Amino acid sequence: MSGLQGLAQENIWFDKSRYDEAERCFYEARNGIPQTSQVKTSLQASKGHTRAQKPRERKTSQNASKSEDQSELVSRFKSLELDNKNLHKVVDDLRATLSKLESRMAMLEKGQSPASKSVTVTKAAPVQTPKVEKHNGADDDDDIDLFGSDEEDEEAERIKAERVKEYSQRKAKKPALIAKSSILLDVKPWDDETDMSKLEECVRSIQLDGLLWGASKLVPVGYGIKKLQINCVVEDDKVGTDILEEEITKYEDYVQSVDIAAFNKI
Amino acid sequence: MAKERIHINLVIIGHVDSGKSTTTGQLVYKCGGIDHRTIEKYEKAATQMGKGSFKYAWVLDKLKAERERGITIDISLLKFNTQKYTFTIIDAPGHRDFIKNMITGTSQADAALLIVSAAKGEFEAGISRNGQTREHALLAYTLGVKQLMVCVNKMDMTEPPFSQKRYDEVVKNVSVFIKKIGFEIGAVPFIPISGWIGENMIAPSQKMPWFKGWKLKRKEGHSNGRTLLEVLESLLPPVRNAGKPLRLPLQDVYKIGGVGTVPVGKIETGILKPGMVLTFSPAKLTAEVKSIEMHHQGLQTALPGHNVGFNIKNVSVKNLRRGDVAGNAQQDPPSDVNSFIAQIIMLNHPGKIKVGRFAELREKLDRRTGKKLENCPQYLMSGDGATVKLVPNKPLCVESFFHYPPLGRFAVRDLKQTVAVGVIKSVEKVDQAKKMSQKAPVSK
Repeated sequence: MSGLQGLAQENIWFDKSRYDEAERCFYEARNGIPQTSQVKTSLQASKGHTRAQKPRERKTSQNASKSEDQSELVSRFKSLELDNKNLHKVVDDLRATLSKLESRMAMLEKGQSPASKSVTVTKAAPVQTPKVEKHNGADDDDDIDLFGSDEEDEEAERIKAERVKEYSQRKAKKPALIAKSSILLDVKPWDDETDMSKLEECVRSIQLDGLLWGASKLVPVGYGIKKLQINCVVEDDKVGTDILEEEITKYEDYVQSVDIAAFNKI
Repeated sequence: MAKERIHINLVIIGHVDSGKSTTTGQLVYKCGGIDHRTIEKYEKAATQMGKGSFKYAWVLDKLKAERERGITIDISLLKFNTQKYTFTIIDAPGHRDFIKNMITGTSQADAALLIVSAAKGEFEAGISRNGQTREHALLAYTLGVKQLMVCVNKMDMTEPPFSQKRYDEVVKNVSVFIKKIGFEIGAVPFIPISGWIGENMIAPSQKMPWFKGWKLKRKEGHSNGRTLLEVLESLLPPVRNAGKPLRLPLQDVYKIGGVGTVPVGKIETGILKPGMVLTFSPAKLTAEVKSIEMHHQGLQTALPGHNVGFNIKNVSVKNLRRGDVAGNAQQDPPSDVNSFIAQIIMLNHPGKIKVGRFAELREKLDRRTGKKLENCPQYLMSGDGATVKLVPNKPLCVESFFHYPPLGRFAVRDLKQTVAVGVIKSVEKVDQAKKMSQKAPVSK
């Protein structure tokens, strides 16, 4: 009985959690882990879903040991990095929106003063960007090296790549220009009796996407022969000289040959 | 115009954003070209609209809009004059067919002006590996345009503006790049300019006191100066090969009632006179020239560069065709060839090109130095230089580039693309009428 009495007076088990805590503190102090970290980790553990932590880790963090604390730190780093990336993204998005607005403004301004055009406007925006990108470039593996590594050192290459990147960003802002060329064609008849007005009519009847016929004139060659000199404007990506030549020489009753007299960028 | 100026074809090359149109516009605007009434009309309109300070750009824009509509064929828009020369500008477009035209077209460039932008990012993009600038410069060199000038443009847009540091950086980079192509650096003048506001174009700029002027070392003599205009003025006049044997490739052949057969073409080398006996190749005909006309006017002597029509005796129109070459029967007459050896550069060929496309792949070359890299290579790829042998699949008259430059270059076309360009090193002329046929898509 007396033994049971003793046990009944023993209240240590009712406060078990307190004793456990004390014990843990003791051991932690012995192993030199500061009290505060423990508090932090448990705090963090309770914080839940927003951070990228695995639930298992959260559970185990209660009986924290040294090694677990470290993995905790790593995961924290990860989450911070993730946050950082997200922020970068947001900044980029903002920049994109800004540039869009600016290009719109440039277009509007262009309507009024084609002179000042995009030069001044486009210049302003990207000044800030390179520094941010430098950081990005340093720790992001997916940063594309546009040039591959040549004999030049990496630093120079990176600066170059950055500038090009920045340039293409700026470029993307500009309203896309359709590249056009002006081609002056010489269309030659068979003889001095070829009906040149009919020949011109035939040539002008050719219709292609991206082709615009312009002014024309008859140029004396010699012995009464005249050639038709006709200007056309083509969109570089749509109309080639081969197709022009092919189409014109199809009118073989009138056309002997076609030559390109001048070929210029517009 | 008091005296006759020498004519020079100037090809302007550079990246889309190098500002080459603005720069050429500035030259044309200031040095002739556009007629004064047009300028005055636009300038007046500009002032009325309150664009006084930007009138130059505004006028250029107007002119560009005019060109886009194609309503003017006045090529004077692309002409300007210096004291010695009349320049016709070829503003190189990015059009994929331009390269072919540059090689086989009628007007050949005598000199090239490379424009690069010093603005941040633009320079780097312009000179990047896939840039058109490289291709055009390489082409110019391959085709024998040995006079090159470089304008470092947009100096007003460097950071800070008119930065000498940036200029030096750009010059250093471009030097490496054009040296790699093969140009002699000493003979290439560099000038910092702003085509937009016109610095160092016509008059020396006050904004770049650090620029000590350009220098030019040629075996024909040294020259120096400060402005772009002075550089242009210092160009060597193109050699017109009047002393060489006649070569006249035919463009067309007409049958004129009461006159007879009239072939028309541009004289590339030599001179043409009435009474001369001509040999046509590969038609294998001879005929005497009765008379010559140019622009409906009779000529007693026709010189290189002249586009002439001439009347010949006893030859039917049917026996001559476009592509035939006329030459003096007494002086190195033209002949068709069995085969020829050419030095080529592969441009944009997808994949590998093997023997069979060309009759023989002799050597692979470093396209910059011309040094041999490999004997009898198995295949060639884009960017490779090589010596190859070609065998025409129908009678063809070509010449070595060294003797008759205009007849010595060609473009290789496949699927409507220029896949290679080349210059002919040597030809094996047909002595007897034996011919071989071999697949080789050659267009000239």
